[in-house]
Amino acid sequence: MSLLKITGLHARIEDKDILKGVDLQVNAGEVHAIMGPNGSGKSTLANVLAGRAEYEVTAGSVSYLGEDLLKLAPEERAWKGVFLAFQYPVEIPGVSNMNFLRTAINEARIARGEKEMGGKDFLALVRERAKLVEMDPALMNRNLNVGFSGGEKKRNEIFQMAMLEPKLGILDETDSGLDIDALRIVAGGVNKLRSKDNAFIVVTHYQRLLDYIVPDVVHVMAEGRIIKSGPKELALELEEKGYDWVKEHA
Amino acid sequence: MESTMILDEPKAAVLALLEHSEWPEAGQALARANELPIPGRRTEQWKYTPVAKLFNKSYGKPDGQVPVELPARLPFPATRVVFVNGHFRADLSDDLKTDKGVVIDSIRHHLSHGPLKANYGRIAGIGDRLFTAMNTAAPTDGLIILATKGAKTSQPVHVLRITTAAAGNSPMLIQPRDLFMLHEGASLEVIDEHVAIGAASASLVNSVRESVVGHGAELTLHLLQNEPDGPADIGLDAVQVAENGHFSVDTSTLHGSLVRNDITVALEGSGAHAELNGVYLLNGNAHCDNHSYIGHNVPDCTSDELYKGVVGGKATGVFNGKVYVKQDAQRTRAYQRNANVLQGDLARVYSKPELEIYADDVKCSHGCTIGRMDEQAIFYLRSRGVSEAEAWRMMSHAFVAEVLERIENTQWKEHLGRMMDRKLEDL
Ligand SMILES: Nc1ncnc2c1ncn2[C@@H]1O[C@H](COP(=O)(O)OP(=O)(O)OP(=O)(O)O)[C@@H](O)[C@H]1O
Ligand SMILES: [Mg+2]
Repeated sequence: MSLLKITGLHARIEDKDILKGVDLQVNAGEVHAIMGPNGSGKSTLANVLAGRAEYEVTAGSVSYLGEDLLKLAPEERAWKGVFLAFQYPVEIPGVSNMNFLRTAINEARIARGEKEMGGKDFLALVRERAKLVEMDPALMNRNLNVGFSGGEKKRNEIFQMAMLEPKLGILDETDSGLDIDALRIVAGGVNKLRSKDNAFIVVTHYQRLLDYIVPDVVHVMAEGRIIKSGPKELALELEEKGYDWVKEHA
Repeated sequence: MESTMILDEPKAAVLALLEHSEWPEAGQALARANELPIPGRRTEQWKYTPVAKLFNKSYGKPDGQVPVELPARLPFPATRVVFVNGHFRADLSDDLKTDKGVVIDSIRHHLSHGPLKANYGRIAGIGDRLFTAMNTAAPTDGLIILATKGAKTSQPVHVLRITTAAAGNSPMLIQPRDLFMLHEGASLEVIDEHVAIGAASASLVNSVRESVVGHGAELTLHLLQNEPDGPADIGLDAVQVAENGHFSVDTSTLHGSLVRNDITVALEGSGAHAELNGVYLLNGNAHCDNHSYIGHNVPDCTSDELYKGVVGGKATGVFNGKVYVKQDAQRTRAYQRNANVLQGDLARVYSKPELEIYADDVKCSHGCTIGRMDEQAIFYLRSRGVSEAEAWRMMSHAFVAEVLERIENTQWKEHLGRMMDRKLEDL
């Protein structure tokens, strides 16, 4: 079943065209990797999917679960199961990690017509999901990402993802900044969240992550377009031959 | 162009109301009030807070005996003292004679007593401040608190000042006048809450409070202005702090049609400390002006100021913080910061730090910022499923939390936090 269908997507920021016709279809149960040179538009695509207002969509469409995704506010997308793990998670002084997560979970539940999660259940879930990504409990009560190390921030992103249980998880370079052990743990966490009903888009520069989170499809993005797609072996080939090779053969 | 002649005319009608008062020094004060011009846009200290309109109407004398329904008590123990339209209401107040060595009473009962005579009018000199002259010319009533050597109150004093909608809706001029005196080692905590019942926006509350903080004494004031549809609220806190004395105040303005808070602190003995904190959350047509003056008059004193505000709608926030360091006030430490978040295109903030330093061995810092809420942070929260409005509230709360964190009384801090959250819901 098609979860996400992107057709001819163009987007710009401050009069600069960045996405120049992206086509991508992601079905439930799949993992898609997106690779590509710096500045090719990978984060832009991720942010447009999450609903960041600074990016103006100038053409194309995005259908998510049969609905026009671009019409929805960022929080509505989240309530319907879209999650973006940021390349650069934001530090927010004065907002506690836990309070904010609980608000986020309960707003989603209310929006879906479900009962709010009580304090006890929430804490139980926190304990369980923190274990999944081996997150230091001391970080939970701190202010959101404030003073977190680069790796701790990334781990916190995946912890939040595990708490929110998205249908479409978009991981924007979650691997960069993680040490080797952390990479394995975080990838393991993602794998445990995988099911036939959800899907992941994993943006990365390194084939190594894909050893742990094995993709069904690998895409190469360059200059605002997906110029090549292939099986997981494409990632290996890229690592060996570099992007110029793809550009020449695209 | 403004001319004093034209501006002076409406003042006469207001001042007529203040004649024949028997308060100390009333005659001179009235004469001075007649001389002083209404501050206008060209008066530096009042530039952004237009008060001329307060003199364009005729006020009546406040009625203190109107029946009122008291708001709910604070969620923690406090001795409540109630003033209605400036008049002390013993019938609505708690028993005020509970703590040894502490006198809490209507100031009217003490006008002929020695301690009052020794200090009244001395801390809040009139200078060229018209509102002080008016207040001194004919106070309505007020609160006197005397704490003898080493005396402490067992719980905070909660002063509830209620302004009602006047009968026939004619505006009232209410002039509260307080005197707090803390002798050596005494300590006192006062919550001063202004509330309005009904449409009281045409009235004017012009307050003056003098506080003397003795050697090693400690005075903590929590001021709360929570008056939707409330009166214009012009107030002066004049404080004198002796050696090793400690004065701290937090001013929270959640509503207010026209609010002006003047705080003047004179640090008169080495080791004296003043801490001024403030939060203002403004929307609609609210106007809040926090003006402070801290005089470091002797060596080795410290002061610390932090004011933060979120200003939306067509509201205006004004901050002016003057720190004056006398030539021989060496080793002064004075810190000051004002930070503002503007929402929308019609809100305004004017912020001005003023340091005047004549000593050379000092550490002073000041900073002011006026900005927008961090869009990236808002997007981050929304992308996790926090609605835009809630994300904005969270960020606003986080922004002012730094001020709340400075409040030592945790019960007050939590109560205030909840009230602020409620206010943020409609910002
Ligand atoms: N706010 C912005 N203002 C101006 N240009 C921007 C902005 N955001 C992104 N860009 C530009 O858009 C282009 C694509 O950026 P994007 O972050 O999507 O690249 P990326 O593929 O994620 O790169 P990387 O691999 O380095 O993370 C870049 O040239 C970048 O400079
Ligand atoms: Mg990127």
